[in-house]
Amino acid sequence: MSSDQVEVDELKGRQFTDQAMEHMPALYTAAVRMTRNAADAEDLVQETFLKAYRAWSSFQQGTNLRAWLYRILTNTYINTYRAKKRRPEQTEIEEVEDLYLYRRLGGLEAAQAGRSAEDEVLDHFTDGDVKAAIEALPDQFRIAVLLADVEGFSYKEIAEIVDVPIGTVMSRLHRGRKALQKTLHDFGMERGLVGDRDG
Amino acid sequence: MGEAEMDCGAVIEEMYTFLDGELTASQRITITSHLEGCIDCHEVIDFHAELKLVIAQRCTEQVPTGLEERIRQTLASGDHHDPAGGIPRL
Repeated sequence: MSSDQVEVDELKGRQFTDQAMEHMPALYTAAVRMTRNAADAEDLVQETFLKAYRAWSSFQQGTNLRAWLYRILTNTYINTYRAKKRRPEQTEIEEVEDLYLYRRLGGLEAAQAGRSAEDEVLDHFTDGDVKAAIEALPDQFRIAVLLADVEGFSYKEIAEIVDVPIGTVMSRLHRGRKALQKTLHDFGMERGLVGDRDG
Repeated sequence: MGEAEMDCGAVIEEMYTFLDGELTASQRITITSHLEGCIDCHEVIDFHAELKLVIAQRCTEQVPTGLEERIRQTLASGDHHDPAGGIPRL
């Protein structure tokens, strides 16, 4: 290899690392929610950076680097970590009604009683509750909720990251969010934070 | 759709597109003006905004010590082995 080539490679490496590394903490957080454990998440992030580095020349400067990195992360997760489990993709999810949690926390009656009781219940959910509720979702719903609510991506960005139409993103988000609310409500019941208004 | 008024059902239908910032300016205004006069919808949307915030805030992870350094070393070393090992590429 010529010394010119070495210089070009070094420059490319530095440019990539400088730009991509600031996204690493967020990518790691998403990776933990995807793989559901810290060791796999660390491998997933390392692999994501390696793939991104190799593909760096195909990245168009000035376009959305964060979305590009999440696309590689998501693809890598789906193609390797999920494939490793040899589980068929779970696409079914329990269907619950709209406003599931709100209705069960008392809704308007509670709000009119003074301090918004349902907001207060939300304060009692721990980090562990929220993480476990997200991790309980099947992959495609979990990834949609994660990208929208935790990472703050737009529907269009999510559609590009996951490579599905925007309508599919919206449907996964809608169903995923309802299922997440049901899981949170179940946790709340177990701990006596909320009553069972059905029972 | 401009200044057309929305009923409660339509507002709740658009709740997440509203909260996710996916509506046009005029659609936002239509919903916001409905919320000013409707305590029911206001409460529902307030709750789901709070829930979205709770989900975002309770979901952070501490990056393991040394992970950044390990990534930098892997990239710099040229030892670009595949940590997943033998699994077919994309």
